[in-house]
Amino acid sequence: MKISVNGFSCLGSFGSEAQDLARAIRKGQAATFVQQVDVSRLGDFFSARSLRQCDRFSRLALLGACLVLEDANLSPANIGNCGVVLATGYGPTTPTLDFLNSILAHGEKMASPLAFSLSVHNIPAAIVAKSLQAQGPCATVCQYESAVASGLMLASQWLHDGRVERVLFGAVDEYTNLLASISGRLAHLRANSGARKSRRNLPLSEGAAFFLLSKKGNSAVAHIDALSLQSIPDYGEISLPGDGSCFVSGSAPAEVLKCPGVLDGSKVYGNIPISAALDCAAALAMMRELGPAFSHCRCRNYGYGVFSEICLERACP
Amino acid sequence: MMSPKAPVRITGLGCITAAGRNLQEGLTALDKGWRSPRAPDLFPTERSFPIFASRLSDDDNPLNLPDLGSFRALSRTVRLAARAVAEALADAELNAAALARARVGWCIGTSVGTSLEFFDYYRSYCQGREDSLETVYRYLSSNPSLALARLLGTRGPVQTVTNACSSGTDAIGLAADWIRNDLCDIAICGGADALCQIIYYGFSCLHLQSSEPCMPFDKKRKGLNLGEGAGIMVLESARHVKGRAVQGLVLGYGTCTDAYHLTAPHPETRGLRAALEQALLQADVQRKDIAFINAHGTATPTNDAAEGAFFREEFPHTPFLATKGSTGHTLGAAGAVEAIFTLAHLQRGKLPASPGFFEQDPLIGVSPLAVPLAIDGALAMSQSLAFGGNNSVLLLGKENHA
Repeated sequence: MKISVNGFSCLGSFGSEAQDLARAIRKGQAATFVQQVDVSRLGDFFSARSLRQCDRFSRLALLGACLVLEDANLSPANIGNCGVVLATGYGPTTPTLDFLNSILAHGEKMASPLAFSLSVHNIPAAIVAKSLQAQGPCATVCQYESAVASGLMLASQWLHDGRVERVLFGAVDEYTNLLASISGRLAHLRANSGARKSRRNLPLSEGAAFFLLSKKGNSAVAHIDALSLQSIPDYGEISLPGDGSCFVSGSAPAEVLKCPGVLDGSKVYGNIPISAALDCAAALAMMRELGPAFSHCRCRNYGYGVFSEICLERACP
Repeated sequence: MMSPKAPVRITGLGCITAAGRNLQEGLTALDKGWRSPRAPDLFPTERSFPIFASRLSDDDNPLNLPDLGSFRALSRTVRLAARAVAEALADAELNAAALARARVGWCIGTSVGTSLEFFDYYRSYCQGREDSLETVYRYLSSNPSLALARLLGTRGPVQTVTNACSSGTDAIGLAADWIRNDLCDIAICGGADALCQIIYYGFSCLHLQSSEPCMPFDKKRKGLNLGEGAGIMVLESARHVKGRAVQGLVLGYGTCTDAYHLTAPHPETRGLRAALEQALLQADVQRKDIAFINAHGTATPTNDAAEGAFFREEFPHTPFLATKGSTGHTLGAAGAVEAIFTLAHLQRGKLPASPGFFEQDPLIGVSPLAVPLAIDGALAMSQSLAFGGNNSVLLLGKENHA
C-alpha cells in the first residue's frame, strides 16, 4: 500500500524547522535540550481568543497540523476531502491532571467540566479537524510506541479505500512533571537491576510530527513504500536491518544498534513514545537536504511486544 | 471515491455487559426488558447516579491462562475484553493452535482503557509521597490490543482505537478493512471499557448523567447511565473460514466527523449523514434494504434529539431500537456490543422493545420500538455518535445476504 508524503512538519527540543532537526541528527544531540516545546507560532495561525480553551497537547497537534499545510503550500480552504489521524503514546495528559487537580482542590461536585472534556483522547484530533475544517473521518490511536505505525496504517487504508483524498496524519506526546517522575523512577529501577542502556532511560520529552498524505502522485516529498506492524513475542524473529540507512527507536536489541546504517535520534528527541514519527520526519528532512545521496530510509520501532517498519523513498523531483 | 467492497465474514461473537455475562444472557435480558441499574458502589463518590456494572469476578480466568496472578493485575477493561474474546473464539471454533498458525490482528476500541487510573497515585504524588509503581505497571501492561495479543501470543497487526463512544464501531469497521486488504487472516475486533471513578466524576460535572434509570428517546429522559462491558467479533478471510459456520457479514462501514463541536452533535447530523453514505456505497445497498437500525440512544437530550431528526428525515419508515436502557452507556465498548446485538436480532428475526422508552417526545417526533417486532430483512445498521463529533455506521448482514 504505497502512499505519498506531500509535506511534513516536526516539533521538538530541536525547534520547529526540518533543517534544525536534520542538523541536530547529524550532530547527534540537540543544541539545547528542552522538555517543553515552544508553541508560540500558533499565534501566526489563530487568534488568542480562539485558542483560549485549547490545552497544551492540542496546541502541539494544532501547530503541527498548520505547519504541515504550510509545508505543502495548502490552506484549510483547499485541503479538499481530508481525514485526520492522530497517534499518541499516552494521550492528552495535561487536561487529565487538570481535571484531577480540580477534584483535589474543590471536590468531585465542583470538578472542571472543561478539563474533563479535553482529557477525552480523541478531542485533540477533533480540535484539529474543527479548526482546519477537515470534514472527513477523524481517528485517534493510543498504544505507546506502536501508535505511529498503527496510525499510519489506518491513514493508508482510508486513502486506498477512497474514503478521502488526503490525510493529515500526526503523532503527538507531551511532557508533564508526573510522567517525568514516573519515567525517572522506572529508569532508576532499570539501572539498578543491571538492565542494558535504553533510550527509555533518557529524560522524558515532548514533540510532534505531522505528515500530509495522499495516494501516490505528484508533488511528493517522498513515498512510503512499505509499512509493516505486528505483535511479536520475540524480537529475535526479526532480521537485522542490514547496510541501508535505518532509524531505530524503542528497545532495539544491542546487535541491531551495531549495524552500519543505523541512525539513532534518541539524543535529539529524548524519551518520547512517538519517536518513530520524529524518525520519519528526520529521514524526510535529510532527503530534502542531501538529495539523491539520501534516497531511501527505513524507520524501525521495537515497541512493547510490537515491531514496526516504515520504508521511505525520496520522490524524484 | 469509495467503491463497493466484498463482505467480510463474521465467525464469532462475544459480549459481556450488565445485561449478561455472555451474548445469550444479554439477549434474554433485552427480550424480557430486564434492567439492573445499581448504586455507584465500585468507587467512592458523593453522587448517586446509578451505574450498570458487569458481573466480573476476580477469579475469572476466561482464557485459561496459567498465571492467574498476572491476569488479575491487568486492568478491568482488559479482563472484560478477555471474557468476551473467550466467548467469541469459542463461537468461532478457534483454539490456540489455530491462532498460532494464522496472522491474527487485534483492533480494539476503548476510551477509558488507555487512561491511567491513578487518582490515588496522583494524590500521593501531589503530597510528595511515592506510591508503589503497581498502578504504573498495570497501565503499561493494559493497553487493550497489545495486552490481548501478548496474552494469546499472536502475530499480526494491533490497533487500539480511542474515538470515545464510537471506538467499538470504528474498530470493527477498520478490522474488516484489514481482512479485505489481506493484512491478516483473522481479525479479533470490538470494544471494551470498565467503569471508572474519574469518568463517573467527569460525566457528572458535565451534567449528562440521570439520577434515574435512563430512558432513551423518551419525553422524560434526563440523561445517561454509565455502564461497562466488552463486545468482540471474530472476522476471518474467506480462505481461512474453510467451511466453518459464518454468523454474519460486515457489509459496509462509514465514519465522518462533524468538525462542529467538541461535545455536542451537529444539529443537522452532517457527519452522520456522510458516514451513512460511505457505508451504503461500500456495501452497495440502498436505504430501503435496511430492515432496522440500532440507535446510539444515550438518553441525553441533545444526542437523542439529533439522532431522532436523522431517523425522521433519512429513515421515516424503518424501525429503530435503543438498548442502553439495559446495558447503560458502555462508552468505547458500546458500538461493538450493539453491533453484536444487531447481528443477533437479525439472525433471530425479531427485535426487542427499547428498555426505558415509554412516551414519545413531541420535539423528536419519532419513537424507538416500544414493543417486540418480528422482522424478515437480511441487513441492519448500527450507529454511534461520539465526543469530538465522531459519527460511525456499520452495515451488517445475515450470512446469506444477497
